Amino acid sequence: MIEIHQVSRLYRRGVDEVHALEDVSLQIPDGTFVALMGPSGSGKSTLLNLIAGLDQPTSGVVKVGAQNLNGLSEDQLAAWRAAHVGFIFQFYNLIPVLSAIENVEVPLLLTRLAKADRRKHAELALSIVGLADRKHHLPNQLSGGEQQRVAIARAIVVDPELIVADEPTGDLDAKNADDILSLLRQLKSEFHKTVVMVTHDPRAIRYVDQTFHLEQGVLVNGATAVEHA
Amino acid sequence: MSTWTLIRRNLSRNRLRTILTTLAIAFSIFLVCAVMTLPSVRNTILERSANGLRLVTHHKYGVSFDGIPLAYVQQIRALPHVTHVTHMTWFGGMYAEPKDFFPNYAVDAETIGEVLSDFHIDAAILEEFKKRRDSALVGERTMRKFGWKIGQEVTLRDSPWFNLTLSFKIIGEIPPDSAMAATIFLFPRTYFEEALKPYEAFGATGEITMMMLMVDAPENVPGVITAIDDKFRNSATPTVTETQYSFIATYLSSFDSIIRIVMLVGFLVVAAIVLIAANTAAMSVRERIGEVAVLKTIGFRRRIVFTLLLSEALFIASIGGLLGAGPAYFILNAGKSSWSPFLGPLAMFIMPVSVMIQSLFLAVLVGMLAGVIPSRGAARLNVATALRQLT
Ligand SMILES: Nc1ncnc2c1ncn2[C@@H]1O[C@H](COP(=O)(O)OP(=O)(O)OP(=O)(O)O)[C@@H](O)[C@H]1O
Ligand SMILES: [Mg+2]
Repeated sequence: MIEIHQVSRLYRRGVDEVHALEDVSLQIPDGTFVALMGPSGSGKSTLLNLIAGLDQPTSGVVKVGAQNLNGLSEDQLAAWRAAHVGFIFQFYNLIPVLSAIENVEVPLLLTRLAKADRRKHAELALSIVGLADRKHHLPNQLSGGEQQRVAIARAIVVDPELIVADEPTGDLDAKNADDILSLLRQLKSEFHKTVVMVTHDPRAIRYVDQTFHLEQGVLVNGATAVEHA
Repeated sequence: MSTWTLIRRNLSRNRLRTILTTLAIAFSIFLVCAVMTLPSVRNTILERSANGLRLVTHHKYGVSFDGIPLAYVQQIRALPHVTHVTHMTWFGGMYAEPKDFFPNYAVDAETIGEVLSDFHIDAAILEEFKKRRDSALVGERTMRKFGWKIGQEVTLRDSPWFNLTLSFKIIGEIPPDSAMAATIFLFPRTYFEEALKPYEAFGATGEITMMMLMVDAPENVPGVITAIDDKFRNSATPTVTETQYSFIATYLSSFDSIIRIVMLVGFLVVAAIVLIAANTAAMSVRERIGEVAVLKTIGFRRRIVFTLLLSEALFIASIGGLLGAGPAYFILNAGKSSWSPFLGPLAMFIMPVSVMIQSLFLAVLVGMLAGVIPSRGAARLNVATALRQLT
């Protein structure tokens, strides 16, 4: 369960104050796939960063599972993210000098796994995203959709409970976007991950369990449960 | 894949840049080695001018014409500015065949070490040489030619003159620091005189082939030369006195300040290289700030990111250091090798191991200084802000 309780995030730019989030409260049950939606600048990424332990709220409480993220130091947050959160970005952000499988192995460098075990885990993650046969390709030898799948493999390789994705389909065509969305849905249904995704993509509605709508830093609809056919 | 793979791949990202930076460091470290070795050049020159303090006195018509009286030694020792005097007498002994010629002299065991200090004969061996009447000191090349060992007894025969046959025990080897030292064979004059006793009537015992003497200071050399040769000009045995080397002692005082300036320039070059390398490191970090942000996002802590990035700079600097200091050590020590006559001024450099170690430390320091600021900046990156700039 992810619990966001009366969270605000204030940015100061000189004398100006930007209320990126204002008094937001919401709950995301374990093993659900949720979307954060809303216009540009409404605070979606800000909220996602708070949930993922990349940023701290100005006020309010962020709890993920048993862990209260408030007041953790930078290093403590880093250690927590390494163990519990998988990240997917809009522009994939793979390391260009590493092959697909090596990119997937990067998060495992922070674990105590032996080299051979790191390779095994990475191979498994790559086969889950359907890229076992492309493991020695460099990112620039892969299509956008394939790169995003490598990034998803990198996000799940440490087997985190929570996957966060900021506009994962923002740079993909319809076909690839559908592939990525169903893959994320599969992570939820087959591997019981909690997946939190920021998106502008209306197509996403068909895949997620729930959407949260933000507008100017305020949650406007509470939660909209989505009916699946 | 390991962390090392990551560091290596990052270095190979821009191969040309990595190679050029490494070479720049290598070149500057080479330069530093040369500069730090400059004092040894001055020492070499000093040593040569010290040889300039050594004079040789022999018969006016040459060493092969006739000897000079042993009595001259005491008279010259009494002259002002003369610090040491020793003498050598040609024996002309042969080992097996007459064609196996090598120079052998009866010498004054008491004083020979003071004047031929550049023969580098061990002090303990010199002591033994003074005590043992039939001992011999032999140049390394002659030892090798006949396969002689230290402790071996050898017999030399002197055919044309007195038909002497003398046996010696070799007690020491003379290092081949000069052509003369390499082949020479020396034994105490006392032994020679005993053997010559039967021929005393012919005046054989009172003669020497030449004297070698040391003068106290370069500026007194001309005066001593004239004093000696004037003293015996009108005697039955006139002499000629010569320096072994012409010397340049007066230059040496200005040489020190030149060394200081050159060293300063050398270290300024290193400082410039630090700045250039720091800029390169900053550029290479800036180019992949997005990747750094991703690493931090997925849980790489500050210290790990810092270490990862700094290792790149340290790796380049260490390789550069080795590429600079290694060849420097060989090139700047070539003067000790058999190539030395062909090297000209380079032969005067003698680079000690300590300079090599210091310059390697310097290389690592260059890497530290160049890498620490960009690596620290990247390690302290605010992830949330950096990720915003990515999209
Ligand atoms: N580091 C920051 N400094 C100042 N203002 C910020 C900072 N981060 C976010 N903001 C502001 O907070 C508000 C919310 O930003 P956020 O990135 O969460 O929006 P978003 O919903 O993700 O928008 P988009 O769809 O364009 O990505 C914006 O007005 C933005 O300008
Ligand atoms: Mg956003």
